[in-house]
Amino acid sequence: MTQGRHEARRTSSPNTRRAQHGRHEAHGPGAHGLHGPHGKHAADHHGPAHRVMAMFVVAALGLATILTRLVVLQVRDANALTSMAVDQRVRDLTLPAPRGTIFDDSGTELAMSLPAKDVYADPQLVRDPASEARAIAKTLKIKVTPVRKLLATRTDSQGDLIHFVYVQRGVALNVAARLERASLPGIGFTSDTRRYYPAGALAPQVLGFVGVDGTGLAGLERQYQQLLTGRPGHEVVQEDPDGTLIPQAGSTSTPPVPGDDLVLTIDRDIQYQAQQSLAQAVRANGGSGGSVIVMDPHSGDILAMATYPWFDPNTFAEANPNYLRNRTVTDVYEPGSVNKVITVAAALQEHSVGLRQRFVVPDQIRVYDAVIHDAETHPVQTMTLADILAYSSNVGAIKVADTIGQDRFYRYLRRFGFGQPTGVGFPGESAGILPPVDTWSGVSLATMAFGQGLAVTPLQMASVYATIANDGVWVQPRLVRGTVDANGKFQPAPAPDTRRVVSEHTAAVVTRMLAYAVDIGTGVEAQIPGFWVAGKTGTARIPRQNRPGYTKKYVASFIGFAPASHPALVIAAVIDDPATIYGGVAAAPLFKNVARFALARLRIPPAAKPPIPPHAVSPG
Amino acid sequence: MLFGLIVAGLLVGIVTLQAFVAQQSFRMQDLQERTRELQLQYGELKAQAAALSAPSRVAAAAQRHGMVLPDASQVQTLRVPGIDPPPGGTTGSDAPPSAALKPVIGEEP
Repeated sequence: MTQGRHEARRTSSPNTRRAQHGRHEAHGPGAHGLHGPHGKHAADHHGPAHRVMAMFVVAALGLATILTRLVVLQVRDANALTSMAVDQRVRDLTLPAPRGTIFDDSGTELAMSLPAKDVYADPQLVRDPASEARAIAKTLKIKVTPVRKLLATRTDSQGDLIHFVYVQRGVALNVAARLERASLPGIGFTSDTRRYYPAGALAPQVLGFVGVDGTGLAGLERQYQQLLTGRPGHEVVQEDPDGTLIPQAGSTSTPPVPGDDLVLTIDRDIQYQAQQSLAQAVRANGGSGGSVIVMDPHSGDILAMATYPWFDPNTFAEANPNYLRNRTVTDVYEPGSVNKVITVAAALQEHSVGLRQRFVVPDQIRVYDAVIHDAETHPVQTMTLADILAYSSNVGAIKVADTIGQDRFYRYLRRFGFGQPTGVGFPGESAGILPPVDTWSGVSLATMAFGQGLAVTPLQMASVYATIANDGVWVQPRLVRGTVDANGKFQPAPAPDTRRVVSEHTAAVVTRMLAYAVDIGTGVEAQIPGFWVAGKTGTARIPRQNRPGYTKKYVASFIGFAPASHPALVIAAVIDDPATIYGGVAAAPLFKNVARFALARLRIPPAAKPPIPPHAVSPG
Repeated sequence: MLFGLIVAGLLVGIVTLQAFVAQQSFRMQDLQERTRELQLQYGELKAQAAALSAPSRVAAAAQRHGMVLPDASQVQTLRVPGIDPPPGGTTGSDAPPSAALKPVIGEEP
């Protein structure tokens, strides 16, 4: 109809249009809308009203539509749309907290975190799993087969498509960059950090290691997990689609709090030398393993703590699980004759034996149903305490222990730290095995007098000698000297626990006897030219697993300190199952090698020779 | 007329300011990226230094040059009060040298 009206108007002549125009002018402008065309044709008269109405309806509908849409957008979908807009524009970035560094005593890094990349794959996008796996394995220096399997597996066990799988985590940046340049389809990278041990296999069992998720799994990394971890930060920024920050859009940022650093008491040079000497000694003696501890007897600081065999913590996943333990702290052994120092110290402290008292010592003795021998046959001898210690007589030690009695002897064993962890601050520290005195058999006192029938960790045994070297005061050993917080402030570790075990006089007398043992007794192989050493050998049989009795295997040990009259270092050297079973042969040279390096390294001067204790056996 | 000039001046000023802010924002981004790169470099260099000074490497290098460890008795230490560190020298309570740098550079990877 509208079209027809237009056509009708187009067919009217120019003259008619002019006439109409003239009429408009005649009636004046005010009459145009009311009387113009409407007065001539009925259709023209009602048309504008309809059109106005129609326009109104159309406009109303349009407005209603807009209004409806507005309500939908602003009310119903407002939250979703706002959220979508925010998602497109706002980035909430997690700022990882760097894990604290572990330093040695001199401030050199032993463990540190470095930036790294995680390599992942979307198997759906991988075009040629075999060739890509070869390229990845070659670059990352890993095995091809597992990578190929990862790339070729497109669905999981429930049939769902796999879109993300880690190929390798903690890849060094330069290695990851090489792989990135290869532009392999379906292979991606994310930022991460990796734990790095720059000195490799240096004190690995002490430091421990960290899993791919940044959690300490063993050693000090585990013990101090909370302290080392820190707190991640957040940054909220607004970006355009290209990832460029929008100026003036503002951002909020909570910076990460880095983990605290750990400063150890370990001296990495002494640690290295202790490890080298230990490995050499174990190999030379055909042993299955061993351990060394170097300790400052006055502060309790552990300068070196080595267990052989060891591993490289950078590749701990490939290590033999048996090598991961810090056996100086977690494993126990029957100490053997090194324990005689407690027997002698207790007897002196309790005045149950005089310094010049002489014992008649055969080479064997019956104790209830057992016959106990000295290590070597010998005629009946007269011995003082010093002789019993110097020549390591089991029979003599039993006779001395008899004068003490089992209750008092048990108390001394406890006071020297047996049957309880030292509290060094290491995960899985063993308390050792010290049966309660009321469960002792008739031979317990006798066997414990020379170090069988109880079990200790090498650290517990080293602490016994540190007690003697520290004028009779037991000092809790420690591995951590302090921490450094995010502001660089050094916080010293709490002072170690101490307790007096024997008097200063007793400690001094025992020291003289230990020096005598090295001078003329079983410990001569531990002598260091220019220094006087105090120490004791130990040769202990290894008990059977899960049943009474002993194997034919031995643990050889030597524990001592130097300089004897002014002790600066206590060193425990233990070799498991050596072909040459005696501590004086297998372990004393190990002590010597470690001690002479440590003395030079710490610039410890020689000290005077301790007085020779009263003795009855003529040397030589 | 004057009003028009003032409005025009303000408009030009605002636009200029906006451009300047945007420019600084991009510069800030560049500097942040540069800082990140330097921190990465610092971490890598620290790791390299620690690895290069590792006892195993130093010992191997010394052995290649025919050096051997002296006996403790062959080492003579001269002590000058106030200059030499105390004997032992391992039980001091000073923080490691790098501690002072931590709040500045951080351990940021």
